[in-house]
Amino acid sequence: MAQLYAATGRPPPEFTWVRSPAEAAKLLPANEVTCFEDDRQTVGSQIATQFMDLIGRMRGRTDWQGAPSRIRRELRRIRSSLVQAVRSTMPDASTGIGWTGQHDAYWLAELDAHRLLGTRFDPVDLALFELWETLVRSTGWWWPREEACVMAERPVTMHVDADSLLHNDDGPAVEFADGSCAHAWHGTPTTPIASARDPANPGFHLTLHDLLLEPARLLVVVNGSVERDGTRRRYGLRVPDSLQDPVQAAAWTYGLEPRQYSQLLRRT
Amino acid sequence: MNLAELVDRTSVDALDHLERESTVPVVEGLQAQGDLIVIPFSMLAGPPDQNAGRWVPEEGVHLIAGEDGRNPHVLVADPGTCTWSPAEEQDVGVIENTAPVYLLHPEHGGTGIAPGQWLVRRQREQTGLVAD
Repeated sequence: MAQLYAATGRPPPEFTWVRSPAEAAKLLPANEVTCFEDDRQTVGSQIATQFMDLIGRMRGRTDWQGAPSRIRRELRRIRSSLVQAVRSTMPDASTGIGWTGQHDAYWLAELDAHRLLGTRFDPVDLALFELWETLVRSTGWWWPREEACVMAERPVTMHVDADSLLHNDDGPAVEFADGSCAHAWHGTPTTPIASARDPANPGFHLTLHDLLLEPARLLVVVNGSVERDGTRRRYGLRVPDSLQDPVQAAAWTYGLEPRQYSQLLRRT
Repeated sequence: MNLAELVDRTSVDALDHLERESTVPVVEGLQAQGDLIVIPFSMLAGPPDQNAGRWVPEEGVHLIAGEDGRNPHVLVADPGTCTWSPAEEQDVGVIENTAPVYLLHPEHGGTGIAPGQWLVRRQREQTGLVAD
């Protein structure tokens, strides 16, 4: 990080390590909101610009033709689910997680693959590239400011689905050491609202979540029958956001009143 | 009736990890099988819209199938004991039975329905009907 500061002509900053982006947000002065549009000379915007320029130059050396590949689309979805989740753990959303950070690590992986496949890069670019590789291997998110840099540790737990999208049907998808966390359902950020016993599914619960980016709520239900491996599949149903209670939401999916759904005798 | 007998009577095979030999419970009241719910007429405000019924044949009736035609819910009844009347949209149809009848599904197994009048309804979400 100090070397990235040096590349902008600055001395090493004072480093402060925190356990999470939420803790970082408390340390970062509110008046240092990232307004790159107004001031392109801040250390954060200069480091971000250098990174974008580096990626651009190195991509220019590869045989990449600019066609959006399936993999790149998937990577963008993964990146966006990660950015939304991490941002949602921060009390002051305006602080944000900056232009570059762990969510951009996949660009380095892509260029590293080209390097392994034999693309010859400029040695100066390669030296800077290796600096960035070291950085993404060494830290979580970070916030470079004038003379001070806040560094957050990586998450302590992280759950994804088969498509590598943030997902956990039974708890937070991302959790930091200080307990700050974010929930996600197949990449979509959620906030749990309420949980209730499923009337005809002993030992299992219906849970209702807010979908942060959609005018709907998500009802997560557990199958009444077991899968081949002995587990039970959970599935998520989008329901109107006027519904407040999990049993009310489950009843709605069948066009019934909550008191009727509560009389469910068996679920298979 | 057990799951093995239900599988024998239809062209539908249940997954082999489901218990086959124990008797399938017959339920007299509201019950759900995956994305379907079986509602007693007594719970409805009035009789549902339904088309003409027909007797359920020996090999059963496929009520609905999953998105790719797999995973059907199959209604199984002894001859002359049950009629099935298809309905529309979220309401799949009406079962009228004088003896226990059964719903069979490859993943959810079997469940019994006591004699009576029943509306079979699909589960929906905000974007449409659910298919499991």
